[in-house]
Amino acid sequence: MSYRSVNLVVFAGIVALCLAIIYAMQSMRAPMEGDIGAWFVPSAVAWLIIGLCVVGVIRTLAVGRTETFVIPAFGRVLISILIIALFLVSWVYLGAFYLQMFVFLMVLSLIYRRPVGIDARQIIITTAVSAAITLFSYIVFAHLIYVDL
Amino acid sequence: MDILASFELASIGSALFAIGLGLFVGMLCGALPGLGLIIAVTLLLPLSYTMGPVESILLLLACYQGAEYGGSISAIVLGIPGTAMAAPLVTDGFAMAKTESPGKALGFSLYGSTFGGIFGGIVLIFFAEPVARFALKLADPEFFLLGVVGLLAVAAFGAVDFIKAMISVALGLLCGMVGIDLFSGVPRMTMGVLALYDGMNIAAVAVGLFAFSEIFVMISAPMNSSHTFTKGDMRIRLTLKEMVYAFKAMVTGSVVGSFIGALPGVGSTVSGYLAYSGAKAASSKPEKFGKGSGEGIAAPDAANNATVGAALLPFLALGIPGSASIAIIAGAFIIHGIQPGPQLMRNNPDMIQAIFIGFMATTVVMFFMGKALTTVFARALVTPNAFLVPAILISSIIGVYSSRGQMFDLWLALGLGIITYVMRRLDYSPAGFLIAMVLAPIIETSFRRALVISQGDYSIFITRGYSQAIAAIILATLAYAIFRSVRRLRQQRAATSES
Repeated sequence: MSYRSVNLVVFAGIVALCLAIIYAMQSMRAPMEGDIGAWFVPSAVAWLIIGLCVVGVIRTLAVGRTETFVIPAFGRVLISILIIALFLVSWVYLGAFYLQMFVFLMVLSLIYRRPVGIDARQIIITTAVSAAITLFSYIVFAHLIYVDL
Repeated sequence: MDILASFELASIGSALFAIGLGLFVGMLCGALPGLGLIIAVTLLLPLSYTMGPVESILLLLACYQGAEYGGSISAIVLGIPGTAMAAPLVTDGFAMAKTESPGKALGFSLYGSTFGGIFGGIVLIFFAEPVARFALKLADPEFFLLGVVGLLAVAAFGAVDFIKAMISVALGLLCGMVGIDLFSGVPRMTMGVLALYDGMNIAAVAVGLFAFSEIFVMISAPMNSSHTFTKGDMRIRLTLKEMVYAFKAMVTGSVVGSFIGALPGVGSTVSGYLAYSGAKAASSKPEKFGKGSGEGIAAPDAANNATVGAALLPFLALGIPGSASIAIIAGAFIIHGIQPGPQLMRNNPDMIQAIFIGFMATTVVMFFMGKALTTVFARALVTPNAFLVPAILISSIIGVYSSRGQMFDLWLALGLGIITYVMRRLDYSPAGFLIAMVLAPIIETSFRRALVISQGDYSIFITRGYSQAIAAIILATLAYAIFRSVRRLRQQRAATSES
């Protein structure tokens, strides 16, 4: 996909969002004594965004970049996002935050260290670093500033 | 008596703890290339919920000051600026580190930063009250127009693409209006989510926009390359002769930084370069610039730290944040239900004085912490991103959750982080988004209140003298932005036709 296409898709998405907001604001058009109403400013801003998107689309079609839109190391970014999401879900359902945090840190560090090779030394270093961060967080958040995690 | 009262309010111990923590995190994040000022402030913002108002504001201000100096550490030791603001001193800093010693170059940097910080603080203290007193003469139409000036300036001066920056700003305005409408009490754009009734959590939004998106950028790059540096003489000290030699450059940098810092949307990167040029023009040894000049290090560093105090000026006196970092600091005010602006200066002078005193203390503590801990921060530079990224991720997650204890905020931050990661690659402006989100309540409330007062007559925005002056600034900024956009478009078309 080229930069130009991605730009057009993003403009379309933003316009769709703004149209949804304008539609939702229509239900709030009940008149209020002396005030223009809660719907007015969001609707006006949404119309402004649509106008700016139209200018953006025209400009993109005229001089948009044609080179391919690439996300470097896309697989690693995607895996990281999935692991973060999985961590949040399992934290909600299983609890035991600090234990899960330790596992989360270890898994991520090992994935990121994979290009340099995973051997016993690497695992020991990763375990030590993850344990140190977990212990530090436990002391700070559980005993110094009392955050209930 | 007032000063003593301020000390009581701030509670010296907790204030000093906040300053120390803020400086430590700021210097560390500033020193690590790829992290920098905004991430440092973002990571600390959620802690504001657990602190008193003065302590939390000092924490973030100290972090801001520390990151400005921290960026210079990697610029001097590695030749890679830790923050964009440190870029102007790379040439001279790195050259001096090689030809003389890293400690000497860091000395010019630290003395310059301290001088600039104190200068910026003095500017803030002396000008905040007159500006606020003047601002008390302004009414709702002017505050609405001032908010518009702030947003336009951020889009016009601080972004690559004006149209996309304006879209970012407008989207930020919409997000700032999510929640219960203050006039009618009706929930808006909440999609029935209870967690959005109080509006979007500023800490979650800041972490999503800056921390998560930056983490994804770091993940996209090689993660196991670690920097190495030659351990030269790291003792940070300057002789009296060297201090006198750099004094003129520090003054030049501080004056430039104080002026530029007060302008919304311009930022310390510009002030650093201008200070460097100014110091070179005023120097008796301009030929040394670029080859390891102490003046070439001290001037941009003084400018960087002078911008901190100056950037606070329009924010504290008018309530208008001019940069993303100040918008995040505004988050601490919002968290504690404090509205910055002339009313705060008038109604809460104790708090303002405590902030001023704390700000000056921050600069002094930064000097001693810089002397003692710069070597530690320099050693942290060898940590590969493979270990840094998980640590920053978990700090962000804990930070967002600890702010309100709601899982929704974490999903919001993650979602915004993913979207921002893509949008940044397309030249949208997360800074513009956040500033607009912070300004949205001021802009909307002033706009609607002005119309209530004028009974729906829109001419209220251009009939008063002050309004007309601000409207003229808006038109000039808009004209400049359009001119710049058209010029850029022409350049792009020329490049396309050539290729």
